[in-house]
Amino acid sequence: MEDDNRELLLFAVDARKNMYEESEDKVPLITMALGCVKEVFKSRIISDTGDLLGVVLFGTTKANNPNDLANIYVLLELDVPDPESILYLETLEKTPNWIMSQGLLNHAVRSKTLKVRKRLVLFTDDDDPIENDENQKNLTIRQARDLAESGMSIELLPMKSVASKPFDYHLFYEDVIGSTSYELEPVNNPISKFDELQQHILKKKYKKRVLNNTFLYLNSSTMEGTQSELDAVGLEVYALFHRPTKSKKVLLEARNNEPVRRVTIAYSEESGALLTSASDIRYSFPFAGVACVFTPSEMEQLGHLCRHGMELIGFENKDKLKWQYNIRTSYFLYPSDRTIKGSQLFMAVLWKQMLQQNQIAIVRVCLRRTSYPRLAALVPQDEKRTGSHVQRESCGFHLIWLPFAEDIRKEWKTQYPKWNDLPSKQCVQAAMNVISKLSIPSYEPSNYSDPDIQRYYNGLQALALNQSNLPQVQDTLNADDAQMAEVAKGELEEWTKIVASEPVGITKQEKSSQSPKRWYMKRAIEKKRSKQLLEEQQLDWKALARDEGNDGLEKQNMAVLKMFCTAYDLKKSGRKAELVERIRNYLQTENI
Amino acid sequence: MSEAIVLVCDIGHTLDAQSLNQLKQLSVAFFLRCITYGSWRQLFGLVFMGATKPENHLHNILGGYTHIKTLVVPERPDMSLVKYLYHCQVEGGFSDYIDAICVSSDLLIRAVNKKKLKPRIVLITDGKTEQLFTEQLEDILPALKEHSIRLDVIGVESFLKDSVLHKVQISNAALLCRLADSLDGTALSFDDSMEQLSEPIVKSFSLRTNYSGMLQIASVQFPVRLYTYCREFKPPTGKRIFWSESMESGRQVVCVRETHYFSVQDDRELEPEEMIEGHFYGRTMIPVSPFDLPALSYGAPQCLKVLGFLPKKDFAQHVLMSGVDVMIADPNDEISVTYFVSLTEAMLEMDRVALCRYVQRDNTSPVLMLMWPHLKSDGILCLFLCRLPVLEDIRHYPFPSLHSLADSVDVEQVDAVRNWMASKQLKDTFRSTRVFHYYHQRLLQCLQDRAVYQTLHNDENGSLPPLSSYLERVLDPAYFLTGRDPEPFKQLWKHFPLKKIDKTKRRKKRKILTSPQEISIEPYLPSVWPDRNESLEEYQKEEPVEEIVFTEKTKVGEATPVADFENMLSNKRHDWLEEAMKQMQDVIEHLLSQEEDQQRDDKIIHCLTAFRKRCIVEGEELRYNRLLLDIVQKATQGEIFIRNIVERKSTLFRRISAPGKEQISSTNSKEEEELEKQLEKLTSGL
Repeated sequence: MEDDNRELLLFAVDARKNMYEESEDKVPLITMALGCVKEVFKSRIISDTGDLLGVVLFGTTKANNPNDLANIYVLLELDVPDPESILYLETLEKTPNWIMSQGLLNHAVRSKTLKVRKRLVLFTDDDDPIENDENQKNLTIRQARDLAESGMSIELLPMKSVASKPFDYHLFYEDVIGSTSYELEPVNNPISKFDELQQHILKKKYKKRVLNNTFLYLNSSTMEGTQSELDAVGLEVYALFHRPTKSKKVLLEARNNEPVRRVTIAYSEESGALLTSASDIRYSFPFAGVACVFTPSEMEQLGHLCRHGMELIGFENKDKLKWQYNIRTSYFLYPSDRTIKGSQLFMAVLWKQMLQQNQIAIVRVCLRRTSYPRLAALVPQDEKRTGSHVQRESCGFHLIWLPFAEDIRKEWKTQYPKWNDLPSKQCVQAAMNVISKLSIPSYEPSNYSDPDIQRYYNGLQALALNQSNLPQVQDTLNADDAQMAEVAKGELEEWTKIVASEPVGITKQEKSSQSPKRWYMKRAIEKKRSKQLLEEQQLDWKALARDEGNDGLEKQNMAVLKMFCTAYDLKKSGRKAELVERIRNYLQTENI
Repeated sequence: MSEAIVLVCDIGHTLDAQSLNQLKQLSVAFFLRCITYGSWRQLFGLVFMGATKPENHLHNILGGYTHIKTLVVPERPDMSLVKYLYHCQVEGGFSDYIDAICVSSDLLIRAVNKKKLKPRIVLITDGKTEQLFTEQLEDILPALKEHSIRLDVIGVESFLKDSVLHKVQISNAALLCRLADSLDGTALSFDDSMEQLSEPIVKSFSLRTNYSGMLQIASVQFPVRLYTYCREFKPPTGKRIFWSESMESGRQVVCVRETHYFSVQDDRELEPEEMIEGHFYGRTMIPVSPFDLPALSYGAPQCLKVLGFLPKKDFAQHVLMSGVDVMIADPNDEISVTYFVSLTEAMLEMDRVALCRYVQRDNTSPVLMLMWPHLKSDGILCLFLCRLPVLEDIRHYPFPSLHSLADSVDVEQVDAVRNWMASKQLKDTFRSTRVFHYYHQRLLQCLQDRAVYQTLHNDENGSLPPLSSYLERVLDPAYFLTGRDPEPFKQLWKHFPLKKIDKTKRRKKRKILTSPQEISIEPYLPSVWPDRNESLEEYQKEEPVEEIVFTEKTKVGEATPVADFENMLSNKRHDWLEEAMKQMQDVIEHLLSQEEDQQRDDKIIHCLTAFRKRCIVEGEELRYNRLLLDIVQKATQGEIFIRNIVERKSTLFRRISAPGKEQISSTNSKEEEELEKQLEKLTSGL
């Protein structure tokens, strides 16, 4: 089905009277829904996936759609999101003056012939939009199933105003949504707060993209070439943590904002001849005065040390895994039957046994042809759900990269302080009191945002929309020091008092006098050498300084001027005019 | 600290061929190790003892050092030294240890001369020469100690392992061991030294502080330092050189890469100040002037601040997003050390970690860090820091639970997995931090091999050496296992049969009307058939001949109607929706008019399913409903037979609901009603 890696995401927002009632945040539900849609639009622009996004309102008296379907108003056609669409949504969010009606749930989606993943996200507060008309209800359910058959998955985000009754999922939507996809998760508790809605939409924000389809070879004793194909299981690799980057930049010609043509050439440093054939390249490594040369094929051969994929080395206790031995962001692995049938069953049993026995698997990983093999640990992960049954952690394996001997640094130990006594019990207790006072309830990644990325994309958005003022970015990674100090005022004071009165006593490390000494020596040598060179030039600097009209000093080049500055301890930085001015002032005041 | 080393090789008259060979191997291995892992500041000298002619500075000045030959005075080592080691021969002179040590230590004292270098003598000997002036030892030892010269002896234990012990060897062993002991050195046998030299070591890094500033906890702050603890090691990359020119000129010609920018309008090369940056915001490109650029980044003043404390159990390792830094207190600030130690102990006691805001340098972006305490086995108390994810870093992908699948197996299957896991337990000694980077080690091995080959043969075209014994050992996964019993593995596959799913090669659909059997492949086969036994199918798998031969599809044929239909609809160049739908309808009608048999019914079901699906996707529900009505009417009149088809796939004979279209025309609603009636009639009749 998914020939294309893109996704088609349509938001259908209920625009009937009930949606204008206020939520717990004192905001109309429809505004809340549109705010969330705007956030998704923004995030899709940032991730630049090329997905097509659209917004449809249903239950309107006015109709605006190509097929003249009643009660359907297409707000934004399916298209790649752009800054204008965000601006439009922002305007709507501020003025929700929709013409309301008592229309029925009556939405239709036309997806043309694109072979992409299709999703319909439905915002509504009405759990039973067709109360009495059984025929109409059946018809709507059949429509929804037809949509599902054509590859469209429908996801529901039920909303709740202050006044509305509890949302009964089973009245109508259970049949509408069905269970077309295993990713689908019914939201049982309706959402009444913007933050909550954002949390839910965040979970549906990204399309599940496989980073790599790989094999886990289980029989380590067989050698490559001789191994049976059936000693491996299929796994899908996902990146659950990924540091976002700033968008791609191109260079433009300043006078007309047109992209410039870029030409990269490779040429010989000596003759300037252009490189015509890639086979003319060799790789050279200096080794004790000898340049060791390798051909590109030899370089490739050097890196090929084990089979591609993952090779199981063995199992060990999970407690052996140390946090401090972390080098990269982890990956997530989920068994797949796509390439090897039976993988899911075997890996599910293995996963359960590993969980029960508190074991981890050590594997050798080489995911790509060009990457070097590394060691990693497969850590089983059990499913975890939030109070509202939203999956927080999925079943599967985390792939945690392990360091080699070369990755661990030990040089810092030379700087480790040496103290005579351990701090007193009172001192440690005082520190414990501070910790207790400054404890926070939990770590929720969604509460913290990268201000740099936010600033960058907000700035770009403002530039795109010709907004004069750049939107302010809230630095969520900062804390209110004064408030923290106030909360633990007594404890902090006590800790400070004890620390000052009962120091542990240290053996002071002798500061290395090497670097300043070397710097002074270097400066002295430079000064001496500069003076010698100036003497060799036999220039009359006083005369040069006086010869203002004929530009005596100005005629000297920067190297000579700097040399003078070095010789007479003057500042060497700045432009030529500044240097000349400095030297002239010096010559006027000093006798050389 | 860097070293100044003098290697002393015994080539005296007692040396036999085997010992000479061992000496060569050992000295080359030792030299290569010094070059590979030693500092660039280190000095290396070479002295032979047991030479027939004296060639050393002490003999020239004082006389008496008759059998010592100084080949290389301590200097920055280069590969030419390998030549001496490879080409050394037994010279038949008398090997006097005291003389050799005197000459070497004098060379070292001269070379070190106030430099920050550790002097070291490495003596390789077979220990068979009788020593005459051992009493002089007491005279030279204080001088050696004064200059902190270290002495290592290689080959000593080999004397003792010898089955026919000689009085001389025993006394020599005693002498050299005593010397090595007094000078903080070691005495090893040939085998042990060779084994040690074949094991890789870590080259030391220069110490750099990542952060030197205050750690702020609300109103309390004290100076701390951050150093790298665990970071991914990047193996060296080679310099790109122009091979043909390098061969001609006899020296390495570097290949330079340069990028030039040209105006699209007038094809003129542009200067940097004539260009500005353009950033993509989604698909829109936004020009950003140099004045706006600073506004696009967020900078904060340097800081390390605790945001709050949390229980350690709330975190798992998989959320950590970077390498790890280690934090220690400022070693020269007593108050800081007291704060630091008490805080770390308190965190350990309470099993707490801290969330921190970390800005490494002024005007850079802040990051969220996790800080946790650690007490190392050697008593070192420190805090570790690692990056945590924030909102933008998280991807929420839901996955179905594995519990039901894991519970669906029987006890035997579970036992098989358990036994297999038990047979695959790693040795207790296994630590990833004791395994060296595979690629880096392989590169070093090849570099050493090629450097030696190039120096000895003056030829740059050698082949890559086989894997070193170390790499062979660590690349064999079974090396780290406690056992090698294959039985549990066999049992495992008996209970969990795996089947590889052949991935069908995606190829374009055939685009001619005729069936594949009518196409002769003969004209497109290569003139020389590679393997007579290779089947046509196998050949076709590799070379999709159809792609080359067949033309674009314009009609829905009866051979593969569904494929043709889909093909026409997915054509990006032409809009053949109407045409394809019409032709498909014709094909279905034509098929229905044929005599009833299994094959015909299969085809009709296939076609109707595809047609129905497409009608839904394309919004052509009425078209399907009309076709259905037509079919049902014909069937009730007895013109066609659809009984079997309805029995097999009754869902196809339900009309598609067309929302909103009922209002478009009254005829449609009439048709709908008619269809409903007919369908009811038909299904009740069945």
